[in-house]
Amino acid sequence: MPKPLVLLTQAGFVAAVFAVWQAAITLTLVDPTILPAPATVFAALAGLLRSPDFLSNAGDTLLRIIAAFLIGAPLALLTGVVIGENVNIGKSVSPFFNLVLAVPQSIFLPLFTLLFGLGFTEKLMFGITHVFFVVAVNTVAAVRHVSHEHVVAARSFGASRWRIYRSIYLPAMAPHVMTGLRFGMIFNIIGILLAEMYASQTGLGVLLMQWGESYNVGKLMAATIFISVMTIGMNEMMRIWEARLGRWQHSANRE
Amino acid sequence: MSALTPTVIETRKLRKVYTPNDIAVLALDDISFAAEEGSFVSLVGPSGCGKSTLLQILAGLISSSSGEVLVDGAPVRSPMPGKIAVVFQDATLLPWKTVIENVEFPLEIQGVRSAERRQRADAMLSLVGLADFGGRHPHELSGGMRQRVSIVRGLAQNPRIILMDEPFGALDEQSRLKMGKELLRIWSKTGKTIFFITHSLTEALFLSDVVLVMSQRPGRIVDVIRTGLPRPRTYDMVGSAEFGAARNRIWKLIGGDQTDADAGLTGL
Repeated sequence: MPKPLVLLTQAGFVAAVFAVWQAAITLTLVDPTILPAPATVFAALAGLLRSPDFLSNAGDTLLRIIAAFLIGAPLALLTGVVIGENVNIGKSVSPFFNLVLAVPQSIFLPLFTLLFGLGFTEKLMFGITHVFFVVAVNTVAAVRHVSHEHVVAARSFGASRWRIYRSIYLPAMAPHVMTGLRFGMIFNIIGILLAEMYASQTGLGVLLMQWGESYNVGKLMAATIFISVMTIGMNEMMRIWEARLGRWQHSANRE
Repeated sequence: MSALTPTVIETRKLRKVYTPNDIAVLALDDISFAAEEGSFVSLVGPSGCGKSTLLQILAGLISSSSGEVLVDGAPVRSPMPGKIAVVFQDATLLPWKTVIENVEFPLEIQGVRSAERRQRADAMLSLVGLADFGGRHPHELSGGMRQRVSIVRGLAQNPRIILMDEPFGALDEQSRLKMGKELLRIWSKTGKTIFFITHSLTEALFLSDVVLVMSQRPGRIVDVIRTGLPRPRTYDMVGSAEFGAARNRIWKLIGGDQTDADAGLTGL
């Protein structure tokens, strides 16, 4: 299928969703207090984007997400490289990482609130744990993907250890690490919003819960769309970067 | 090949013991040989006899358990960039670098300035007819072209010695002989000493001045054959009676059908 046709089909799909939504309202198939018309939701969204209160809550959430990522991701990268490089550490530690990943981290939320309270620290810690394990596991996998033959070849050229890390490990690992970081970010956002929805004073999660409980569906849906668009945007940015770093890999695999 | 030609590589009673899972395995035993400056030396032997291990010891990539390797009389304990270059199988070209970047990579590590690097890489690629492929990535090239790049990457370092580990192993028999002739052409122009590992007896005899024959594990050198064939080598030499006799002699030495030594060569 040619690319313009693909884009057209996709646009058509989005338009169809809105058309069905609007038709349901027009034909009074649904109660507008439960599902308001698209126009109402977009008006609410425009209102939110001008509301200092909404923007300040959004800012708090964003700050928590970024802080958790900036702390969690480097820690995880370092841990992943150490585990990946050291077979003995890897053997003893790796199983625990995989086991931890199997447990839904949401069940630890009540414990986190007991340990760290309801403020920034608790959200940060919950975000960090969400980032950490998925990034660490992917980094271990990335280290294992580094070709031993490439390392031996570089050694024969006289490359130092540092040079091998920079010229062999880094490019070979980059696409896998980027995948880990992208998933780390998705998990991070899930964690932070969940913590906010569960118990918090500020943040988008709090607003979602408030508007849901008070049947303020227009604002609820507007905020939902806002968060969706933001996270999709963030994910796509990281995905494009990931694809760029891994371009050699896809073309090499296609053969 | 006179007695006056200086020795460039010499090994003295090399021995290598591996201890995987605490059980000692003798991989190489009592390996002593000498290679003369500018000569083409091949090493043949059955799969798993320790050929690659020996090459890695010569390259300074792994250490021997006892004995020593001397290059120009000095012991080799670590890689000697600029003096010894290793040509691996094509899998070692870096897939994220272009062809010319791959050729330049060792030079970059060895601190050659970027303009000179590019010029040397270009010149070497032209020598093997790949001047127009510098901007491609390895996966866009055929197996034979990748192997030529791999050889060029070794040559561009301008070493005195080139160690080659089954460089044509992944090629079909015809490309293999063609690449062999190509290698001989480059070799005659550059005058390097080449140490060449192969499991093809035909290839070894066709290319070399001297063929070292290695036994099953533990790898020992069981014979040293001076091929004595005139140069330049031609394909019809492969069919000659001396060639066949030499091949049969090696074939018996390394245990005939216990090995894959001449697999696929019956048609030649």
